[in-house]
Amino acid sequence: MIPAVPLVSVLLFAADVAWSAPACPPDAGEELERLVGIELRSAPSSVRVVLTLEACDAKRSDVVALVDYGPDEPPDRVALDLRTVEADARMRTAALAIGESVRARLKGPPPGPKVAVEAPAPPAEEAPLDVGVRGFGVGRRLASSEAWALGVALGGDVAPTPWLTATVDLGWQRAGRSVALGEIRLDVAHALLSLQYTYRSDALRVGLGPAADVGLAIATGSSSRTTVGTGSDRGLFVRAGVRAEVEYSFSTTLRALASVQADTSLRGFVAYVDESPTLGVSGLGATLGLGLGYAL
Amino acid sequence: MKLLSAILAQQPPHPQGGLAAFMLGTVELDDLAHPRRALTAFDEAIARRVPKPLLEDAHARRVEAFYRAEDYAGAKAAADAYFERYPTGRRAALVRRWSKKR
Repeated sequence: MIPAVPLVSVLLFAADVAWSAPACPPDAGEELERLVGIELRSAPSSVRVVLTLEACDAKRSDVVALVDYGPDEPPDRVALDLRTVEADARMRTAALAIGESVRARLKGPPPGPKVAVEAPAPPAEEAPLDVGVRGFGVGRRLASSEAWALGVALGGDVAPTPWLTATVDLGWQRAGRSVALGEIRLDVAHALLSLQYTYRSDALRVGLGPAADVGLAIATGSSSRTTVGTGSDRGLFVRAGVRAEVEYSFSTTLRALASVQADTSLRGFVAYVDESPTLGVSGLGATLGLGLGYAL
Repeated sequence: MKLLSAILAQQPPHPQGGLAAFMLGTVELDDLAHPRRALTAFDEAIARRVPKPLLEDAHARRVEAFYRAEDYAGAKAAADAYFERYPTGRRAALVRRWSKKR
């Protein structure tokens, strides 16, 4: 497609339409302006649309619309490839497509009916309360022990507002380490709470925020010295850190999830073999997770 | 309305029948609150090859029409059809909202 050249521009307010045509006849875009104005008749006055035509003849031009929703909202760019549309239908098609784009962006229902409403009240003004369940496979790097723990986590998430997501996960992880002094196995059960500032774009959700983690670690070990034998120890731990999640929705219900979390222990637990710290939940750590979610 | 209906009734089919059906659907849904009639119109718009820049909107509008007709199962099925065709579509957020039963 040929890059759009701003030969013709229409500055359109919901009620007050301005028009400029620096390099084209003054009536080059009037018909398109009128059609777009009809489609945006119910748009708030804060919506401004600048149309750029590729050529002076609107019937033979692709259209790019820059839609400004006011100082607090990012603008939209709507590029319409009209090559497959027959010439007589191009302007109407462009106007309808721009109208649909503005309507979708405003997140509101269509303009109110002019006759008695027989349909249910639309949900658009309500804050969506997205609730879902999810499961992860996780790997955690225990920095202080230079070992990996593998495990699973099951949980749920709720989004009370479009920009905030709260997640709760219950997980279990296991790590093992063999050293000259013996072998040790660490089982960790934990509960994780995270609040994430959320960015959403179509099927994508990206969240970032603080995370707190509490749990119980149980170490079971055996010394290579037969006189010492086997033993076990347990302890509570508390961790705090930062968690990021990326979610991609395949459909209205099914989601793929990836997470990364970096944290440090506020209260740690370390298992010793022959009086040497061998494996534990302490210090810095990072957890990677891949999983699936299901929206309820 | 009469003009749009006349275009849709033309034989042989009018070359802009898909566009007329889409416009009829928006009027039925937005201005007259007739979601079932709107649904029929959007189905016809798709069947009659509405111009490509409006095709995704026609699929998205089907979800809204089902919802407004209180046919939530239909809305979910229409949303699944939308996401199958447009997994990262421009109207995904709106479709997701309309496909949820309140």
